Amino acid sequence: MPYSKPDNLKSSARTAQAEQLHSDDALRMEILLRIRRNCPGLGDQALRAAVLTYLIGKRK
Amino acid sequence: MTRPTLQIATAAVKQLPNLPGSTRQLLGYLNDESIELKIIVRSIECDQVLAVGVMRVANSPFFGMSNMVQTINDAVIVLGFSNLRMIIVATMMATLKFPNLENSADIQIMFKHALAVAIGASIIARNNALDSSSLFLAGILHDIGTLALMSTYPELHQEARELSIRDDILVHEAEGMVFGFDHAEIGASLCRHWNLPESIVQAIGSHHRIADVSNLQPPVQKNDMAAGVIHISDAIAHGLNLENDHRTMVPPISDAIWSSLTGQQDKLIDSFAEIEKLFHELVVLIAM
Repeated sequence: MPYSKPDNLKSSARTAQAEQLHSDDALRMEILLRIRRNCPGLGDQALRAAVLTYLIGKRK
Repeated sequence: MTRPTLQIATAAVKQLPNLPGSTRQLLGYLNDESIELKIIVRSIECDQVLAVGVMRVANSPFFGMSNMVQTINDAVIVLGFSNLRMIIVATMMATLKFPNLENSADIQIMFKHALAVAIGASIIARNNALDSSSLFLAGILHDIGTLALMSTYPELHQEARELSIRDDILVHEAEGMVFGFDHAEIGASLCRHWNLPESIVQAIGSHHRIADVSNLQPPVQKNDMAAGVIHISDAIAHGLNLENDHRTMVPPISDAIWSSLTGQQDKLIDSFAEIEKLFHELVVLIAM
C-alpha cells in the first residue's frame, strides 16, 4: 500500500518543531513509515516527535 | 488447515515447555526480602547456563570488575538483586525452547524487541513509582503468545504474517483475522497456566486491547497501569526499532495512557537514550 502523509501529521506542532531540526528526509520518512498508522491521537504524534527529535539529536 | 478456536489453541499452547522451574523459584527468592544470600547463590550454582551468564555479566566492563569476580557469591554482591533479576529473566527468555522455532530468523528479532520492551517498561515503571522488576518480566514475555502461535500453528501464523505485510496491518490484527484471536490473548493464557502473577498476565493480555478502551481518561487507574506501561513501551520499542526490523510498525497509542505515563518530552527523550544504552549492553552481555 503506498504511503501518503496524512493531514493530521502536518498539523502536529511538535512534529513540525522536530522537522525543523534537520533536513534528513530519509530519516523522517523512515520514522513516518514506522509510525504509519497515523491515528489522530496526541500520543501517536508525541511519540513520533520524540523519536524524531531523539534520532536526529543522535546524528548531531 | 482447520482454524482452532481460542479454547483449543489455549489447550494446545499449554503443552509447550514451561519456564524453567529453577528460574521461577529463583525469581520468587529475589522477591523475598528475608531470603538468605546463600540460598540465592546455591540456586544459581545449580543452573549451569545461568551461572555462566551471571559470571560473564559480573565480570564485564559494565560493572567495572573485569575478570576480578571469581565466585557466584561475589557476582551476586557485585550485581545486586535488581540487575540479577534482569539477567535471570533475559537469560530465561533467551534459552526458552519451543518446537518449530529453531531455525526461524524472526526469533532473534522478536527476542531483541522483547528485551527493548522489557527495558523500556522497567524505566517507565521506575519513573512512575511502579514495580520495575515485575514490568521487566511482563515486557520480556509480552509477545510470548506470538512464539506460542508460531510454534503450535506455524502455517497459520505464517499466513497471518503474510496478511500483515500484504494488507499493511498490524500483526495482532492479522492474527485476529486468521485465528479469531491474537497473540496477547494466547500469551496471557499461557502465563496464567505458568502461574505468573495475575498483574503480569493482565498486562500481557491487554497490551494491545487497552488502546481500544475509548472511555479511558487520565490519570489511568492502578489496575490498568501495568498494561499501560507495556502498551507504551511496546510502541516506543517499535518506534526506536532497536531490533532493526525493516517491517516494524508502531501500534496506535492510547492518549490517556501516554499522558499518564510519559511526562515531559525532554525526560522522555532521556529515557530513550537510557533504553538504547541498556539494550546494547544487555544484548552483548547475554550474547544474542
